Amino acid sequence: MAKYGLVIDLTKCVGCQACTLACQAQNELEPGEVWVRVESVEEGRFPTVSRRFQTVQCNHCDNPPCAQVCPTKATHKRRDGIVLVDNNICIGCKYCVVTCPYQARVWNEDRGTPGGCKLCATRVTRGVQPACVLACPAKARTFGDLDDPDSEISRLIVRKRPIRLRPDLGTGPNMYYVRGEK
Amino acid sequence: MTWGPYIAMYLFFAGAGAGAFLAAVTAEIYSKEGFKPLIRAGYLISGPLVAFGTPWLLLDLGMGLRQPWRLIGLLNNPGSVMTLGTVVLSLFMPVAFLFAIMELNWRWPLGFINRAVAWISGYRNVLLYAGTSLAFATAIYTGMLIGVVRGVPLWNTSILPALFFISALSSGLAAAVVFAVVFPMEERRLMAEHFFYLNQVHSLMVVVELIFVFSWLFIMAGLSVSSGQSVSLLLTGNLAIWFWFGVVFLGIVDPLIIYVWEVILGRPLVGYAMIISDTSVLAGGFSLRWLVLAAAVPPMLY
Repeated sequence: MAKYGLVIDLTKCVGCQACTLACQAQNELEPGEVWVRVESVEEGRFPTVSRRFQTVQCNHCDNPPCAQVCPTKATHKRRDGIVLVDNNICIGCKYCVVTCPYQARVWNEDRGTPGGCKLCATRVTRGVQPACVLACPAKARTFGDLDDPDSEISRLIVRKRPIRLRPDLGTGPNMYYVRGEK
Repeated sequence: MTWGPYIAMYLFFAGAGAGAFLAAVTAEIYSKEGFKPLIRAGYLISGPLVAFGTPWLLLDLGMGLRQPWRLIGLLNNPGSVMTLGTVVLSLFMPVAFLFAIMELNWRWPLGFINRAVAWISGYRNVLLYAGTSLAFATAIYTGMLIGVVRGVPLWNTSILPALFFISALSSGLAAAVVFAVVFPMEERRLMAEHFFYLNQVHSLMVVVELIFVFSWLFIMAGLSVSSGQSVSLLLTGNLAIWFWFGVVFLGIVDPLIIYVWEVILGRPLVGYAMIISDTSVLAGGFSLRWLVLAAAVPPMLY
């Protein structure tokens, strides 16, 4: 079975937020409802300081805390690894929103349920790349099957040695970030 | 702040209801006669307190009031603390209400109700074991609910259920005492020596609470960047005035002052002094829940 994930090359990221907008358009989100966010990070100590961008979205964790705490099982992990909310049974308790260490679950007050990156589940099951991947002008995003050792994403992981966000929390995140030299 | 005052109300009243039940059970086991007003008050308010708390959770739900039939789904995931808590609360509430009905000892207008109450009273001992276990579970659940949250390092520690448990006990005892004083039994009132003893017990609880709060915050201050930020928020930041006044002064220092005052005087303060001490414990209990929720800071990601 497939296990989908992304490699995001932050050394290429210019912080244009095309991924954020493509995601909003794809998922018909409201203004300000952001499922793929681009954070601006200042690093170093004066005078050797630098600034870089860090994108954060649902990590489609192997061991998703949101699905563990969800009382209704509206939040569930598909066999291809994608973590989704079933808005037809969700009661809107916001337990997933407080539990996600990545703050990737976004509350929608009008709808009364939370949302988050679906890894464009409807597109990828049809063989189309996720919207954010196609929109990135720097081609910083690579989507693929982490279980297939011959996929482009698996080769990138071997070659570029990307890091993940807080794997020490035991979540098993599936978003990989190429950070380059520090 | 994703979870705000509504959830704090829910956690506080559920905890206080469970604590009131445990206060009544403890008083019943250790001394039947003198504490009769307290036992009565504890059983009478336990169910209503929990029943008053749960609507706050429903109000907080995005879909709870729009499509209430979805609520049955709360029982879907036995691995979720919220599912376990739903089970525990839905069992505890009716048992607590049965104790309130038995305690009221009314003559109901319909004969079959009286017969049903008499029949249930025959199984009071069995219900007492069930109610006590469920009260323990309820009080601990309020802390477990947020203790398992990995997205907030401040909460994600095993001392939190213990802290909420001891706070639930002291809130429940305080609520029962206030009720017993405000609505006294005609034939028997709480006596001065009982107040003195209650204050002693309460002071002990409050000291344990103090130890838990500060050992928790002390360890959290250095555990990670974000838990340290949470602690700064509480001790010196935006929430500091509420923390020091609400949790520390109202919840802990005030009842201790009244107790020490009594020891110095050598006689118990009855009536309004007791009410002041116990309502301030209740305010402190609510402040604790609210501030713990408000001080949530997510982990640093990079």
